[in-house]
Amino acid sequence: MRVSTYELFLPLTGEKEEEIKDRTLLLNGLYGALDILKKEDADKVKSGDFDLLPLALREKLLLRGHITCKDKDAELADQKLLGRIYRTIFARSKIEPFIMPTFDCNFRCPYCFEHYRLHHGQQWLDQSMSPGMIEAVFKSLKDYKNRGYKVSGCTLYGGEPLLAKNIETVRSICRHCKEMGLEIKALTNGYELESFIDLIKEFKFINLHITVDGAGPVNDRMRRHKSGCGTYEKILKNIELALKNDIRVIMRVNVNSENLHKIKDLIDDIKARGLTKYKNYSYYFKAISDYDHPENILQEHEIFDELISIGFTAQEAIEHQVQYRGLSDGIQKLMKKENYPDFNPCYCSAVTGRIVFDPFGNVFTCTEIVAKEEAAIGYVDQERGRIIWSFDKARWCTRTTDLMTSCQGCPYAFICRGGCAARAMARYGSFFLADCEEYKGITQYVASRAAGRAWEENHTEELTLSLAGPVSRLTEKDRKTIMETRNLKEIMEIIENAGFSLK
Amino acid sequence: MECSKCFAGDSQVAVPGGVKYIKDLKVGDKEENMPIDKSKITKEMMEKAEQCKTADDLVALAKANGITLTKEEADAYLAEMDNMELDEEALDKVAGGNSYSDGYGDEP
Repeated sequence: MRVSTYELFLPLTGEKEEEIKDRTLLLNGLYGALDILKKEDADKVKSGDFDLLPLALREKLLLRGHITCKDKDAELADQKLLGRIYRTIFARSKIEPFIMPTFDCNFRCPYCFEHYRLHHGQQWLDQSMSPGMIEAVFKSLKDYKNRGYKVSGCTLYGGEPLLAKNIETVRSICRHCKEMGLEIKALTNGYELESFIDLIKEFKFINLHITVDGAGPVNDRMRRHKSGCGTYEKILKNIELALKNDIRVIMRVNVNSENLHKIKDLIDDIKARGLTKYKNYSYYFKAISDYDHPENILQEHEIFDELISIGFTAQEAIEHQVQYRGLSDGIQKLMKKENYPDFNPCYCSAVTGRIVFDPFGNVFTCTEIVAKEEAAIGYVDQERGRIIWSFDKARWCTRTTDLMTSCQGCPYAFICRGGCAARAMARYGSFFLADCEEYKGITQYVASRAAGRAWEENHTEELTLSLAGPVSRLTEKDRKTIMETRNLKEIMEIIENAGFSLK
Repeated sequence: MECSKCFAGDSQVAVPGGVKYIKDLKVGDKEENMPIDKSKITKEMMEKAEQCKTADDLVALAKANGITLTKEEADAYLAEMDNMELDEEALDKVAGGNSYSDGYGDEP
C-alpha cells in the first residue's frame, strides 16, 4: 500500500484568509477525490504510516484512491485509460466554429499576435470572406452536424470582425448561423460597434467580448487606432450603448507589465461611469500573450496579486482573474456531487472541437496562431463543402496529458492539462510540449480556499465523488476494448455499466 | 549567470511519438517540430486516408508519404472522419464533461 502518485496535500484556507490549522485537504488528481482530514491523520498518510490510521478511514482512503495497492504503472494505466475515454468520446463530440470575416483591423495594438498579417498591406487586408467561402464554411459545418456532431455557438473573430465596411459579410455569416440554429458571440474591439447594434439585436448575439486595457491614455497606448487617435472614450461609449440595448458585454482587460499597476484607475473609472450597475456587464483580467516581447509577459498570479493589493478580497480576485475563476467554478461544480469528476486531458478547445476559419478558408485550431499561415492544419474544400485536414489535425487531437510523457504520472494532469500550446510554442518551440508550471500554483491556491470555505460552512469531509470506484469496476477485457476500439457506443456501454453515471 | 544557449536537462523536446527530456536524448534521436506543409494536404491523400480502415493502414499511408504518425494520432485522424454515434443526451449522462474547468484558455 502506498500514497497515490497523483496525490496532493494542501492546507485549508478559510474565508478570512486564515489557515485552518487542524485540517488538511487531500486532492487526488487522477480520480478527482477531494477529502478533508484531521491534520494528524493526513500526516500519517503522507508519511506512509497507514497502520496508525483508524481502520475505517484507511478503507475509505483506499476506496477513494488517495492511497492505493496499485503500483505506479497500474495507476498510469488508469490515467491513460481515462484520457483515452475522454479523447475518444467527449473531446470530439462538439464543434466550436470561430469565423474570421477579415484579417483587417482598425487598431494597431503593440502586443497584437496577428501583426504579421498587417505586413501584407491594406489591399490584402481589405479582403473579406467571400459569399462562396461563407457558403462552403457553413456547408462544412452542416456536414459535421449531419454526421451527428453538436455544432455549438459561432464566435466572430478577426482581425476586427465588426468593421462597419464589412457589415454585409457579417450579416451573411449571421444569417447562416441563424439557419443552423447557432448562437453567436463576437470578440471585438468595440470601436465601430454603433454600426452593429441593430444587427446584434436582430440576430440575438449572446455576448460581446470587448477589450479595454486601461483608463484613458493607458488604453489609448495599448489599444491604438491605426489613425493614431484615442480609442477609450469611443469604446466606453459603445459599451454603454450595447448595455442600454440589453446586449451582454464581457469586458476583457489584457494585462502586461505596462498596465499592471494601472488596473485600479480603470476599475474606478468604469464604476464612476456606472457600468458595473448593469446586470449584463462583467469584466475579467488576462495576461497578454505577447510572445514577441517576452519581457512584457506577466504570469497570471502577478495580476491576481495586483488585484489583492488594490483591495479585492481573495474571492473577488478569483472571480475576476479568468484562470483562477475557471478552476474555482470547476471545483465548486464538483463539490455539488451531481456527477463524477472530470478527467479531461485537453487544455483548451484547440485540442477538442474548435475550428477557426480564416477569410480564405484556411483552418486553424488555436486562435492565437491564425497570423501564421503555415500553422493552418487544413482548409475548406469549396467543391465538397468539407474540411480537408492535414495529419497535423491528429497531432493537435492527441495533445493530451495521457499521451504527453512529461505529464504522465503528474497529479495535475487532469487539472492543468498540459497548459497552453501557443505558449509552449513560444517558450519551447513546439505546440506539443507542456507549459503548465503556473497552473500548479493556481490549483493549490484555489483548491485550498474552495475546500476551506466548504469546511467552514458545513464541516463536510468528503467534498466530491471519486472516479476510483467506477474505474475499479472495469474488467481487463473492458480496459482492452476501450484502449483499442473506435466504436463509441461500445465504450459508452462499458463505462455506463461500470457506473460512470449517476443519472 | 546562466548560459542562454544551453538547455536544462528537464527542458522538453518533441520527438516522433511524444516528448523527451533533454537529459534523456540519445545521439540519433530526431527532433520533430511538426512542420506544417500544405502541399501535404491533398484531396488525393485525404481520399486515400478516408479509405483506411485501421490506424495501422493510416500509419502506413502516412509513412509512404514521409510522415510519421503514432497509432494514437492515426486513431484520432480516423475518428475525425467517423460519424458521432452518440447524441447529447447520452454524453451528458456520464462522467467526463463535468470539468474542473471548462474555460482554461477559452473565453469565459
